[in-house]
Amino acid sequence: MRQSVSHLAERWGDSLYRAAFAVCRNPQDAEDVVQETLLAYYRSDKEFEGEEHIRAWLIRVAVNKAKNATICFWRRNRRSLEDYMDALTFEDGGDRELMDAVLRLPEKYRVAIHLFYYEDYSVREIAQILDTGEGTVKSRLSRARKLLKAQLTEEWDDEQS
Amino acid sequence: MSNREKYKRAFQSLHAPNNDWLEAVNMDMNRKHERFSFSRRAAVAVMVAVLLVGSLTAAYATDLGGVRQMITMWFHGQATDATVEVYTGEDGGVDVEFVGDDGGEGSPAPASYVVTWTDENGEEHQMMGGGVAMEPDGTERPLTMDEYLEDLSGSPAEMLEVNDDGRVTLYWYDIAEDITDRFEDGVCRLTLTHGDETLYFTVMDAGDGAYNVSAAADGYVD
Repeated sequence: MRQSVSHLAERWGDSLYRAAFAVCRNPQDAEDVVQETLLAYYRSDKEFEGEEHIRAWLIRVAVNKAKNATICFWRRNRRSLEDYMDALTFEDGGDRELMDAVLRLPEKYRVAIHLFYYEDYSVREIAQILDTGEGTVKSRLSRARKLLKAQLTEEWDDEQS
Repeated sequence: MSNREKYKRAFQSLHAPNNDWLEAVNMDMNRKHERFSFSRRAAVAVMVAVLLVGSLTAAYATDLGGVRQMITMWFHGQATDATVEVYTGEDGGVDVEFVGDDGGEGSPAPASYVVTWTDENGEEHQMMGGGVAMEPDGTERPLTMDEYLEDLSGSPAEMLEVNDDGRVTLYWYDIAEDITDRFEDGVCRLTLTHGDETLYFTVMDAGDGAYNVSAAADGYVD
């Protein structure tokens, strides 16, 4: 199964952007990641089993490219993140605090947390996307939750790891 | 409200700023010539990321465990001996952290390399980067030392440098061009020739002191 790039861009563009931003923490890099991810899809001859398969592949490529971007532009990241966050419109006062807390997590925790809470992927699916073990994902989620709880206190509920 | 609902609400504040990237994708689809940039070198199967961090002064590493090799590269217009190290760590990640002059910290992604060299004034510089190879099925794997060496040694080491005064210099082989005053609407285009090789450079001011540089042998990259 193949779908047009324009359809994928419209359907998953924001989702890829959010995943990329959660990893690289830079809006320009996140944009680049979305573009390069869609290009990678276009250039790939891979046949997919369905839309969910495409989505998981796109997420995986985007996460990898976003990790790469953290190498390229880490100095730029430091400069522009706060300004960018100031320009965002949050629905609730606690939303920025939550995003700040997530973005302060180590990269490997951010990836796992984002795929779990935003993309609704299971531990098994995250392990497949990140090409790592389920135990590793569970461990990262558990540690990430503890760090978020420590930062957000009552704004973040305790959960079973 | 659950953690998941809070998380989604917070991140739904993020939107891709516009659809320019889709337009860029369409442009790239139609592009016939090879394109590469300093930060992202797009070849048929391999992508390598390189960043010059000349102002990076402090670097420390724990459990480097890396592979080190000597290489000759072009820096600031001079052929220079340099050391290339490739790092691996947990999950293929990197156990190395860098601290820049501005206090910023960076921890590179998996299978990164660091190139270290000493300039004519005895000052040590470092450049770090990384890359992945894209397999036919779309999966990615970290590049190996051999692949890095092939790319780095085969590259004319084109570089862009912004000095403390904001002057922008483009280096290619032994050519050094001050392009500071050659930007129009944030874009500088120039053609450089070295021996039989000619490249068309497009340098875009991305703001915040960052520049995207592309080059092609058969014309300017739009």
